[in-house]
Amino acid sequence: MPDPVLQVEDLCVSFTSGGVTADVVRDLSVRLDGGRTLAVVGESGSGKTITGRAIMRLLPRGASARGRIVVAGREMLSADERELRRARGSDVAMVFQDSMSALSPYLDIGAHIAQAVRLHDPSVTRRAARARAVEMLDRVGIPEPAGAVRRFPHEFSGGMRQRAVIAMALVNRPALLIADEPTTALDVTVQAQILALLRELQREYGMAMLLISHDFGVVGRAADDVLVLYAGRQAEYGSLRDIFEQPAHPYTAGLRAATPRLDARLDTGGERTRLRAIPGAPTSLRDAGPGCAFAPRCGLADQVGERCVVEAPLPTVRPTSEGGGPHLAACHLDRLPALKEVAR
Amino acid sequence: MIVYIARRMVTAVFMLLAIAFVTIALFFGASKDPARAMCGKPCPPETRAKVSAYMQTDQSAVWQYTEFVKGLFVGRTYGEGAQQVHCDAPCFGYSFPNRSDVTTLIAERLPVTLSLAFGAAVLCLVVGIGLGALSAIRKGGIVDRFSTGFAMFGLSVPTFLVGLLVLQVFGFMLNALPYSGFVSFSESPTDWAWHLIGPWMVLSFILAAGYIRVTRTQLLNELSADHLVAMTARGASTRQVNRHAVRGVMVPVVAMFALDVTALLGGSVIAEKVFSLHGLGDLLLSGVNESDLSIVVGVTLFSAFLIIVGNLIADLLMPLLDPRIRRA
Amino acid sequence: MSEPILEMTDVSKRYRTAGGFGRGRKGFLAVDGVSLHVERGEALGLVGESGSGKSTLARMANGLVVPTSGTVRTDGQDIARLGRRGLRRLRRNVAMVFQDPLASLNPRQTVRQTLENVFRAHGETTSTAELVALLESVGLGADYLGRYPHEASGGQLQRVAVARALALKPDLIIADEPTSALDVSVRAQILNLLADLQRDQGISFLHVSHDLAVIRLYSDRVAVMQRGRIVETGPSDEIFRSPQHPCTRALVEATPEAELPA
Ligand SMILES: Nc1ncnc2c1ncn2[C@@H]1O[C@H](COP(=O)(O)OP(=O)(O)OP(=O)(O)O)[C@@H](O)[C@H]1O
Ligand code: SF4
Ligand SMILES: [Mg+2]
Repeated sequence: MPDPVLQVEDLCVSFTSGGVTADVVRDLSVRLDGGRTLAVVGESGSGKTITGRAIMRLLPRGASARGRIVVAGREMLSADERELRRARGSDVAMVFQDSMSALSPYLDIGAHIAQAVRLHDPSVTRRAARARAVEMLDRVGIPEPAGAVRRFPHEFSGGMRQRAVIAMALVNRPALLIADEPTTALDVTVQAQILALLRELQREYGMAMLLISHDFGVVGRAADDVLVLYAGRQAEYGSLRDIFEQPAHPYTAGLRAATPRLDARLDTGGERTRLRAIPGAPTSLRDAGPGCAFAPRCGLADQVGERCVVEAPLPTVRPTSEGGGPHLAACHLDRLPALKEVAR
Repeated sequence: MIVYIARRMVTAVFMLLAIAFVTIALFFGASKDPARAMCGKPCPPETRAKVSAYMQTDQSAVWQYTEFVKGLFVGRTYGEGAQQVHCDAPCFGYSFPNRSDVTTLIAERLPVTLSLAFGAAVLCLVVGIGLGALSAIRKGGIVDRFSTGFAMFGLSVPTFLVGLLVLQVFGFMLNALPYSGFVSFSESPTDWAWHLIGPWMVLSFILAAGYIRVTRTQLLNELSADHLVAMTARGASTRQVNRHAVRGVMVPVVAMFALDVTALLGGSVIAEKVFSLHGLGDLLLSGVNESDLSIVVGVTLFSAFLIIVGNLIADLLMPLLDPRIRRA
Repeated sequence: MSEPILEMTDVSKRYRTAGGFGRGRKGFLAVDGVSLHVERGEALGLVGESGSGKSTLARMANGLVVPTSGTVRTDGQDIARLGRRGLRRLRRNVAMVFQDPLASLNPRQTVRQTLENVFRAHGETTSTAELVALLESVGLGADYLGRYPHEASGGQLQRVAVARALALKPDLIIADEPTSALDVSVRAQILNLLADLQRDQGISFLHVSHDLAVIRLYSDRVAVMQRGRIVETGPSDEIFRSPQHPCTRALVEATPEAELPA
């Protein structure tokens, strides 16, 4: 097996404020090879963004990470400032959800991309770097790239701006791209184009992609493997196929059942199909007790009994479909019953 | 661009003319007759009428205004024969109590005000931005707490109080500062600065408060802004990121600075009074006290002109600093 | 058949653009000659890309935005002819639910105060029992009465917003992206709640969303908007089974499915 581009082992992230330290991500382990896409799915506050930032060592003030993170052979958590600078933007790059705030309002698009080039290779002249920018903008499908480099972020539409951000992230051909909700702020038609572009560039450059999303629709289009997070912990991990066809965690199944679908049969005898909602609201690790964080909302906790409330389930191996990689789920239930029983 | 500036200048001229009219009208509405002060102690009505006619203050406000505007282009002549005084083409009026045209008076006072404004502006920028930046970088630290208090104090205490306090503390008690007077820069730069340290401290103390606040909040916003996180993600060092953050701070600071500098150049009445400096503020005050219309109009117009130019410069600078601000 | 609860005929809205004169004098035509109606008890879904004029149209339906031309009738009455009192009566019959629940609730008012104010604004009094019943109808317990907005989650707040809309027993609820700020699991709860209200209380809905899957689930009929015009309308099932207009087709094709790619 080749060395993975990204390897995360037992990652914990905690925040300290007012002398109190609390974990927001706990015991996360991930392995991602070049050319593959791992989707990180979860609801608001589940720790998706924090995980992505931890990999780049870009945590906000007050946050600290433990465990092990290896990106393209480099130990990120023990790396010093200089090594980190070399890794960021070159080995691992990031695409943000809000392309407007991710770009400096004071620099034109060309300056952003040229900066990304020159930060990693100071020998490149300013002019050559801007020429690279034009090439890159052309590559991501921005019309009239020679003129576009001189335009400022606010002069682009949302979709074009996100293309520019992608150009900026990929200009140094990173081995790993972390895309944090790259299409959430966009219209569906534009969303589809951006996802297609990311997939295409990924194939071309052979890079690994960590795709952060809350939307199973986006995940279904772009991912090879899926990591489902709930309250900062790994609920389920598996190939796209296993996650979609034989989910082993009640939360994964519930989330899918709660997602409105375009092809849903509606006209079932005048009565509309109702979504199977998960009761309650997402919690964070901070508020979770000693048991399973999903227990207060889980329709199957009754079947298992007290164990769900007192003992946090560890990821255990689940059946995989043919050719699928590992499939893990953190649930005390060995087998998930048919979907309709999952949510109360 | 040139068209834009030209248009702004034309608007400015009309604005200045309007300001002149309002000043003259207000003066005539509220003031006693300027001729009174000039005519001497026993002032028989005939003499007074003659003086009044000589000074041309016996006419209506509208007449004054048209004469004033005319004087701007062709100059103005008061009286006849031996008593005749002439005020050359861009004539902003003639001050009888000072026996000089207003332009000359302003030019005489300008070095004092310029010196005052220059030092105060530099000092308040250094102190304001410095303290603001330090308190943003070490939020909640000692500097932060000190400068927050400092800013609160500066914003709430009136100028004359600070002025008197500085005089008291440094001038009298420590015997350190000369507490009044002015030495021109060309005469002796060190004496120049020495004499001005007091008023500089007073003015910058009061102005710096605003810069501390703006710099602090703006820098805090910038430092947590996504685009700077993104810059770090591209591999930039903390130094490079911080340097970039400064740009975001520059925009509001420049806007504020343009206004403050123009206000300073218009003369600081209170600071000049407290430190007995004879700058534009002092000139304006004396004009008001002596019911000297020409001085009041002249200095007011000069300040207004500075404010308009200051605003124009700020407006021209803004789009260079922040491309989002674009003129249509 | 009775009159539609909402009928808009050839309405347009032109926003004046910044600058006011010169090139931009004509302004921006956000809604361009749209006609549309909502039958009693019906849920009409309005879809379209951002900037297509959905929200403007929805706001014109209850008088929050005054159309540049065209007529809006609710319950057969022309909104433009209503006086101030008429407009107030209109606002009790036509309620609105917005996208961001936190922004639409006053942070300094408890849920109880928020709800009581609705009654007070229309010169009515209410009892605690009534308020509790109201909260229960949106699936919240009585303990929420004393809470402030920051003490509740996004989904709970959106329920409060729905409760506020329901307080005066409206005939029509205009919901502008009511679930797009919510988490997936919570979104389903709110969508189910809205569907129940339609079924059990016969309330009509104008449901604005950019999410076709959401619209499909909860609308009897669908109108598709593009650049200020309605390009296609029809029964929900038909529109999604065989979209006719290219814009609709593009939207349907682009909507990601939580399905394995074929
Ligand atoms: N600066 C911070 N200080 C304290 N806690 C934080 C901070 N940033 C995030 N958190 C906490 O960390 C947890 C994970 O946050 P994160 O932003 O990773 O969630 P997410 O999955 O990306 O959510 P979303 O879908 O809303 O973007 C949350 O419980 C959040 O409250
Ligand atoms: S461990 Fe128990 S509560 Fe948690 S998901 Fe499994 S069944 Fe539900
Ligand atoms: Mg996030």
